[in-house]
Amino acid sequence: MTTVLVADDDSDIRELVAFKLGQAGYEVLAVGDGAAALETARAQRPDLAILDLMMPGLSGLDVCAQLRRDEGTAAVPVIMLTAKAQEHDVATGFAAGADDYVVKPFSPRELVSRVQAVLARVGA
Amino acid sequence: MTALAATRAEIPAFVPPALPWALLGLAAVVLALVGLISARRAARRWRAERVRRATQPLRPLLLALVAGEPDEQADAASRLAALAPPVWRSVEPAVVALLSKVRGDSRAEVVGLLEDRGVLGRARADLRRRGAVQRARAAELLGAAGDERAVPVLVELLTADRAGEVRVVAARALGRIGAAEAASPLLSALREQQGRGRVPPQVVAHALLRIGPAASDDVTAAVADDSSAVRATACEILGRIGAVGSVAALRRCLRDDGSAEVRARAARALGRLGMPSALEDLVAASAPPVPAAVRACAVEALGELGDPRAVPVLRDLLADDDGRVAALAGPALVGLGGSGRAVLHDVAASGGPALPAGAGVPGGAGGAVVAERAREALAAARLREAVPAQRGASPATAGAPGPRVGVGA
Repeated sequence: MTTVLVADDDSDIRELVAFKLGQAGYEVLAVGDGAAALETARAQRPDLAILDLMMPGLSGLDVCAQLRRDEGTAAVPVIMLTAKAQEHDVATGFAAGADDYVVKPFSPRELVSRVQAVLARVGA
Repeated sequence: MTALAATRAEIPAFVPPALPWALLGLAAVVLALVGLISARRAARRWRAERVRRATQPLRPLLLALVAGEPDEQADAASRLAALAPPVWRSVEPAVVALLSKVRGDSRAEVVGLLEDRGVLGRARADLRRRGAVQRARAAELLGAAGDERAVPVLVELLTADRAGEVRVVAARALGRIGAAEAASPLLSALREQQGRGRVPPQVVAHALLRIGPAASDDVTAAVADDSSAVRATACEILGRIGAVGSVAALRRCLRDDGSAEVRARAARALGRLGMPSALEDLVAASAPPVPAAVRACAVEALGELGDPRAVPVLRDLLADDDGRVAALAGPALVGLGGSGRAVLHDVAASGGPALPAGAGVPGGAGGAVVAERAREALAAARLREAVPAQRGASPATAGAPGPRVGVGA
């Protein structure tokens, strides 16, 4: 089963994304901060990670950059999920190695489509 | 009391006799306040926990409402609409909280439910309440719900409410609703209004950005406003919403406006819009005697515009007397792509470019400093591109140009 890591400090968002992805047939690993996201990614090697940009401790950008540096997780596709929507923020997300960028408030249905599209692109 | 009397005997004569009692009273007041605050916090935690326990069984319904399939959404909506009032009251904050987290069909379901339960109707009525807190809360909720019916009253609050906080919340709400008819009142709110103070520019700008291209006609008209604050915000917004139809107005601002701030923002906007017709005005604005702040923005804009005809201009600006302008010329050349980078490589390698007569830098460092600037610009560009290129690459190849090139390519 395709595994998706979801990291967001907002429990509503975490629950919502996990619910929608679960409905779409994915196994979801949900965590509430950046450090847990990094640990889970290294231990479980998910097929894709959805990272909130602003989390306590390690931000989504930090996690993304560290995933890219680690040979074991460098190829894990990352979708940034964030309230920061300015073009500079988006550019920073992509520069950190993100594959896609979803702005909050978001559409759960659209998020699933993007997950499917990114996974199809990387051939997972 | 006895202990206090004994202590008093030891107190020096210059201390007023009432002081120990006053200190005792003060300590009692402090203790009472600490107790009160602790009790309030405990009560708040208890209430939050009670709401959490009450709503926990309903969480699956809420999730189905915002993220379920259409038939699940409809079922969840009808079940939530039929909840008994006391149960609804406990779950209502959780429903309202979801409004700001989802959009599209999901938000429409939440809005429909809040309308059915009369929550939005009450909020519309609350916009007229005497209390500023109630008015602000209602405006916040209606903005989050994207309630177009509330727009006329929200515009009234924005322009005439006696409470500054309410005007700010009304501005945000109008932006969230995306009400194009609010663009003009939002811009007017940047002016001082009958002693009420103005709405902060960043709040107005954010609201206009949310309204987006639908606001472009009103915002374009505002670049000719009497107030420089309005003109500056209008220029900024036009660039950010991609209003290509406003290029002529922005060029006029860049050339003729009396405010350096407005001209700088017009330059930035023209860079963002990327229309080649702006090249000539941006080149003119990058040279003295234009104020340095405007020149700096014009140089950055030339880089964003990406027109290779700007290469010789930017190359000469590498040696500009103004350090900031000279420092920005390098990254701008990177922005021009291959031809700009080629010039930077030449300058970096030669240790001193073929610069026009009279060009130089203060202190006479000349060519060496200019070459250093070129090297810095190239190094910064390589650094920006390195992170995306590392993806999936072995450590040996990390940093080499890859297929996924990020910023600054």
